[in-house]
Formats: sequence, structure tokens, C-alpha cells
Amino acid sequence: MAKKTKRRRGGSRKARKARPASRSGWRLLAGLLVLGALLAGGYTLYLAKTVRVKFEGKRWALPAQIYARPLELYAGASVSAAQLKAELRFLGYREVGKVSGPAQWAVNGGRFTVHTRDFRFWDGTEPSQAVVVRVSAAGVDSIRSLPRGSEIDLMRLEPALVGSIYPAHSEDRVLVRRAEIPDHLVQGLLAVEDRRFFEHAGVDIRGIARALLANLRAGKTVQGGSTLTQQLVKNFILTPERSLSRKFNEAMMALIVEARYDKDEILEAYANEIFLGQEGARAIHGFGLAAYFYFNRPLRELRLHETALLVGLVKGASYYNPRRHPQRALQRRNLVIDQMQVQGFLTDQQAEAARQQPLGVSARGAAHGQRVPAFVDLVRRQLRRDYREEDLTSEGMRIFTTLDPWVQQQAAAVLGARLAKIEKSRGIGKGSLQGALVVAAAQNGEVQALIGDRDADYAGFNRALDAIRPIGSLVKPAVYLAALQRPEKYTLTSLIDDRPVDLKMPNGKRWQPQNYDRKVHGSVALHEALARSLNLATVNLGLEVGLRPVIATLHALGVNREIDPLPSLLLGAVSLSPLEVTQIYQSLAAGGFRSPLRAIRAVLDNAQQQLQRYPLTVAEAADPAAVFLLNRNLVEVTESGTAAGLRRQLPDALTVAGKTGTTNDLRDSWFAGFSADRVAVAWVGRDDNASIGLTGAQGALPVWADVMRAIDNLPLQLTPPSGVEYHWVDRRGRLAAERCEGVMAFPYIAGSQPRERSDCIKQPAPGGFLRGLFD
Amino acid sequence: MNSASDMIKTTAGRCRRGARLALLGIGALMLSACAGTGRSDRPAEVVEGAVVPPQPVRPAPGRSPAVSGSEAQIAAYMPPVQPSYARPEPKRAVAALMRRAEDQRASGDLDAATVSLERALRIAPDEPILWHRLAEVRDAQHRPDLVVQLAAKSNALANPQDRQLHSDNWRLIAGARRALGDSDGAREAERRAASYE
Repeated sequence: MAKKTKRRRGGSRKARKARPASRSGWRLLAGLLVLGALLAGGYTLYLAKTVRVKFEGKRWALPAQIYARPLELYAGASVSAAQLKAELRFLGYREVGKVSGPAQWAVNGGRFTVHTRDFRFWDGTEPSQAVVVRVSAAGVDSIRSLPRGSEIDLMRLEPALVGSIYPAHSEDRVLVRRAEIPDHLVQGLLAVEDRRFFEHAGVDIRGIARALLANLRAGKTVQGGSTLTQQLVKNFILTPERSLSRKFNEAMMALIVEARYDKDEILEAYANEIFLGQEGARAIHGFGLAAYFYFNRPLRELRLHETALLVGLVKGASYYNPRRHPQRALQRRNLVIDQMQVQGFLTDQQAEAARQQPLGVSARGAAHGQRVPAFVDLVRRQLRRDYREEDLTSEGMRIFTTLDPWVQQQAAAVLGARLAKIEKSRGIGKGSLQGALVVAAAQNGEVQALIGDRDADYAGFNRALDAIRPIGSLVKPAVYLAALQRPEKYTLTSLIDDRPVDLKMPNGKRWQPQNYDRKVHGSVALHEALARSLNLATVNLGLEVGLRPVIATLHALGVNREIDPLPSLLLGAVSLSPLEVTQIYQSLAAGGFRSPLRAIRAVLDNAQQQLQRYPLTVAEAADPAAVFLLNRNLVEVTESGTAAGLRRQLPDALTVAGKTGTTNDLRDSWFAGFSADRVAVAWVGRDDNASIGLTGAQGALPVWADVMRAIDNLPLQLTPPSGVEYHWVDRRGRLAAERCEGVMAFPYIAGSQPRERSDCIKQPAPGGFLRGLFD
Repeated sequence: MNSASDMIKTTAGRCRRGARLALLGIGALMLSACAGTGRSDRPAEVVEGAVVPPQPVRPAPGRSPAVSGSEAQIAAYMPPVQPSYARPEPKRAVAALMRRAEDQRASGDLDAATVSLERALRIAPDEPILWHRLAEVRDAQHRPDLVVQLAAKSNALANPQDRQLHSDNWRLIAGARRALGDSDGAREAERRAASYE
């Protein structure tokens, strides 16, 4: 762009040189005239080419558009009435009394009537349809089509547009075609910007005269004489200078445009080019994006008073910014309506009704825009592996992501609120805590929500991806899993030593870790050591199992970083981002099957052709039987271990598994865990890495509980896989029977149950009596 | 609260679901697995006294506490007591997507079939039949690396009594391992498959 502008300016200098010089002979004059004509001709050709490039080449850099996941509706879907309402609002559907067309909904008790927009997915088109969705406390009960009432197996709402990847010069737009531009928008433009648009040849002499007269009368500029065509070419020339040569260029190009293209083409170009707003570094271009930006719905669905506002913004998008200066914007909008009325586009009645409407601009942040900066950042990074940045910002690709806008909204709300609450109750400096939160689907690794700042709208340091912090006790499950994968040696009831550790490190220093309670607990059951997060028992176990197997387990669970084989690793001296921790716990949540965390499902090009799909893959990271034992142990953590506080914060029926993490001097507070269908990781700390004085259970755990409570979760089920048996054992870990006193049933990998028998069962059991159900 | 029988109920539930799918002409495999074991009819009798039922144990008053005492700790090791879906099962949606995937596979549109199955798996991620079907489609697409993992995932979720499903998964794994040049692994998988028949 800049290059072209330069060339154009060069051209105009040449044109100026072509003016005849004085005191020259006729011959010279004639020669210069010929040269001038040639240059002018060449210049005209050059302008024509510029115009052609703009119109027929890649007219606009079309930013990639980023969509959330579509909401699936079916009988049995866990969608509450509150969620369904929110989802319909995300899509900009209008709530009405009676549904009469697409993008409308009505609700009566738990009975929603919804008329959807059609939408083209990567695997086919979802047609526009009217349906009745019945929602109860249990979720969606039924979906029936209107008017016939036949039951629908499943349907998808269109996905919400949540962002775009626009280029460095920050022009963002959503392309509209001429047919999508509402008549009342065109009429509004004619009324206030260019009355004779359909008659003039690009430059409107009469319009200029009229504007001049009006301005003289008013004593200030009240009307512009520029035609829509001139305004359009003004945007082609990016220099802001106000010179005669520029005016001349504009007029020339306007004439060329008019000569080459018909009015509809010009109108379409104008509608996509015009500047209509600014949000931070992002420039809102064209009515297509402006419709989303101000009203969160597509242009074709805007009503008269809404398009009138957009038309009003042409004159000065920042001066009339309806969010910052609503009164000014309202006056401007009504002036547009007045003009439309005066010029006969509206009846008095229509105009009056439109003037009575409120501005109706959606709240900032709710509108289509970068409302999920941290997630879009993740999408962008995943895309960069497969696409060039310039393609992402110019080719109009459509990116279908895994973002669950409902979960994202809940997560964003709880993080900031909970941190403020913690600061208040513990007397921590207001605003000093920071946090990150990741929620993913447990079984397939789709990232549903990602928050990188306590102010989720803030597009700054993305802690979910870039805060690489020691994970503390979150590493322990990997240590225990490495042990449990050797069933001949370790079971949940094996006794391990919680005794002092004193190691000489390679750097010559001594390493003498302690338990959190600074006590030594002696011989403890393996499951108890994990549930209570005993440091000494864990270090002893890890050293016995070996650092290499622990590291191998971490890598299998999805850690890609190199990990130093130092004993301190056993207590979490390994630094990871919240997203990386989420990968580890996803592998556990999925029963030992790792699915790489994905933010993208598919990418389509501008012509709706699929460029790429990111399929579901799984990889067995650990023996599912050993993972089952570990996961049961992690349930114990949340019921009677270090995270027992969770039970007060979650519904009784919601069984979850999880682990707290705290690092040295209480710098980082972590919680990672999962229900049957979601895995989530919360981190709380400070950007300057100073102590926050909070353990995992005091900082991150309440954040985690808040988000899990706010979203729907299936309780963890954990049905034992093949090869797992339950056996009764006494409190010393010896084989017993149900009739014995103080015994408990524990799961074992078949054959690994204790050999030693409790005093309670003297006789060897009859064959098969203790054989498990699942061998 | 008899948790062992709950486990069996879950099994029976899967079989019932299989039976329902079979009515739609797609769950025949699962149904045959249930019918073959003959257990789904009389679940309670199979377990009574034959296994260790992991019931919660309340220590008698005045006695020394159990391993770590609290009831909560004991409950952590209990198999689930609530039915697998506290809400209506998404059976219609899953059945519809499985049907669609079958049609797509039959017409040779394997990519579309994987998309439909992945969509179904988002709705019912713990349904082993879906993972098995996805493994089959990946097999038809000559992606043995994926087949091995998807079939293993299906096995991990499959009820141990779905012997037919286990067997079919192991057969898929055997073929995939052979395609990957792992003939020892393939023989081992065949042996496992046979052990379920």
C-alpha cells in the first residue's frame, strides 16, 4: 500500500513538471505540450491501473474470522435455560414476543421458540429452521420442528463470531455483497452523503455548489460536496494531506471508477471500505463489520434506526462514537432519519417511529470483537504452525475453533471476582494477584476456555500460555503413576517411607526437603501419601522408582520440555505453563489416553473449501488400569486429602479428582483437576514472582471450584477397566474379607493384591473366592 | 447401596443402550456381545458372593479407626453410584450421528464419516462403540497408527463383559500392527482377540 502511494505521488510530480515554462519558443512549447499530454495520458493510465487493482485484484485484505464452537442441541444436551438465552444473545438473535423470521427467539417458561439462521459448516449446511426447544433443570428435554412438530434428533446453532486476525495495519472488516446491503442503508447514504449518486459521473458539480451555498449560509461546514465515489477513492489514497493535487487525483480517479464500473459495484466497494470505528489499534472498516461491532448481528438484519446510526458515523466515527458520546450519536442518527424523511424515503410515520427507538448499541465487549484475546492468541499460535501470517490476515479464512463461549464467559467472570475476594479477605494488596485459567474437554482435549489475565478482556501478557512457573505438587501424580505402573512392586496400599531426605546435589549443596507440616510420618500407605501430599514420602518413592521413569511418565502425559533429572523434580521443580499442565491432567482425565490440546477444529478458505481439519487423535500415555488407580487416589485428594475443602464448595453429587500445588515461599498457587467431562487448571500468583502467601488450596482451588460450579459437569464415574479387581484389606494393607473389622476395599491391578493375609482370615480362601469381577 | 450390583447395572445399561441402537440397525455388534455373555438378563445373581463388593464400611463405634478413618476417604474408591447419565441420555442424537456415519462410510465418504463420529464422541465421549467405529473408519483410510490407539481407547472404555467388542478391537489392532510392520505385536493382538471369543 505504502509503496503504491509513493509511486502515485511520484506520478503527480511528473504531471506538475509538464506545465509549460515561460520564455520558451513555440517549438519547445509544442514539444512540452506533447510531452505533457503523454505524461498526463500515462498518468491517467496509471491511475486507471490503481483503480483496477483495487477493484479487481485483491480488493481488501480479509482478516481470518474466528468462530466459537457451534452449540449442539439434542434431547439430553446439558444446556440450561440460562445458557440457551446467553447463547442466543451471543449470536445477536432478537428476543421477540412472537417469532416471525430467522434470528429471532421467544421464551415461555422452559419452552423456547427459536428460528435459526442458516450456516455453512465445514461438513455441510445447517438450514435455517424454526424449532421448539424444551429445557428443564436436567437439560434439553426435546426439540421439535415448527410447524409440524416432528422431533429433531440434533441440530446446531451457528457458531458465534468471536474475533479475527487482522493485519499489522489493523484494518478489520467483514465483507458484504451488494445484495446484502439493506435498501434503507443505501437510502440513508443518498440522503445525507450523495443525493445524486445514481445520476452523476463520479463528481457532482451541482452537489459541490449546493454544499458551498449551504456552508456559506451556515458560516461553517455543514455539507460535504464529495460524492460516495470520491469518498471511496479517498480511501484508496492513504495519505491524509489536503492538497490540490490530491483533490485532483481524487476527482480523476472518481471519474475513472465511474467510467469502468457500475453503480452497484461502486456501492459495494464503498460499503466495505468506509471507516466506521476504532477499538484500540483495531480499525473498523465497512458496514459488514460495523453491524457486528455496534449491534452484534449481520448487516442484513439491521433495522432502520440502526442503519441510520451507521450512516451517521460516516461523517466522523470517533466524534459520533455511540458508546462514548451517545447523545451526540443520537442526534446525528435522527438527523439522518430527518433527511431520509425530507427526501421522501420515509413516511412521516416511519421516521417518527425510528426516531423513538433507543440507540440499541450492544455493550462493549459483548459485541463481535476481540472479546477473548487469550484464546484468540492460542488459535493464532496454533495456526502459525500451518499458515503464513499474511494469509491469515488477508485471505478471508474461516477458523472454526473449540471455544465454548458459555464456559469462557463463566471462567472470565469467576477469576477476577475470586481474586478480588481473596485479596479482600486476606488483606492482600488490591489488584496484586494475577491468575490464569484453562478449561478443556476431558476426553478429546478441546480447549473450551482460556483466561490469561484477571481482566479477561485485556489483551496483554497471556499467562495461560506464557507464565512458565514451577508446578509444585502438581507433579506428584506422575511420580505415583510411575510407581503404580509397576504393580508387582507398588499398589495403592503399599507402605512407603515418610522419612527425612538429605541429598547432596550436583552443585555441592545439600537438599533437605520437608513436609508442609514439618513433621515426619513414618510408614504410610501410598494412597495416603498422595492424598496428604507428603513431600518426604514422595521423594523416597520417586527415588526408589527412579527419576528417569518419572520423567518418562511426564513426557508420556504430554510434557514436551526437557526435564532435568534432579531429585527436586519430584516436588515440582519443573516449570510449565497452565496450558501444559492442562495437557498432563487431560491425559489422566481421559483414563491414560492423551489427546493433544486443540483450539481449532477446521479451517475453511474464502470460498468455503476446507483447507484443513484437526482431527481427534488419542495416544495411550499410560496403562489405563494404573491410571484408574491413580484417579481414584486423586478423588481421595478432593474428598479427604489436601483439597477436601472442595467438598464444601461443590455440589455433593459432583465427584471430581484433582491435586493442589504450592511452590516454595508460597509464590504459586495451583489447582488441577477434572470431572467426567472437563479438565481445568487454575494458577494464581504474582507477575513479579513474589510470595502471595497462599497455598494451592487457598488460592487456585477456590477459583477452580468457582468455575466448575458455574458450568455443567458430569460427576466422575471411573468404571474400572479390564484387569482391575477390588479386594478387602485391613489397615496394615493385608488381605482380609468383608466380615473383618476395619477393612476397606481397594482396587488392584489383577495379581498385585497383597499376599500377606490378615489374622482375620486364617484359612486360605476357596479357589476363586477372591477373584475379581473384571479379570 | 450395593455398589457391585451398580457396576453390573452399568453393564446392563450399556447392553440396553446397545439393544436400543440395535433396533436402529446399528448396535447389532454390541447387542450380540451382551447376548453372548448371557449376563445382562440376570446381573444380580452373577455377583452375589462371587466378588468383593467394595461397600463403604463404617467403623463400629469405639473401635480404632480404619486405615485413614474418614468415610470420605473410603467413598473415594467406590465405583459410581449414580447412573451414568443424570440427565436424559443423548441416545437419539448419538444414534442419528452413527447412522449418518454409517451412510457416509457406505458411500465411500470416509472423511465425512470421521467428522460425524467425532461429533458423536463430543456428545458421548465414553461410548466405546463410537471409538470402535472411528477405529474402523481410520482402518479403511489406511491409518494404522490411529487405529491402534482408537481401538485401545475403545477397549479401555468397553465393559469387560463386552467380549465381542474387545475381540473386534484386538483384531483391528492386530491388522494395524501388521501394517506398521510389528508382526510380533500383531500375533499378540490376535491371541488377545481369540481369548475373548
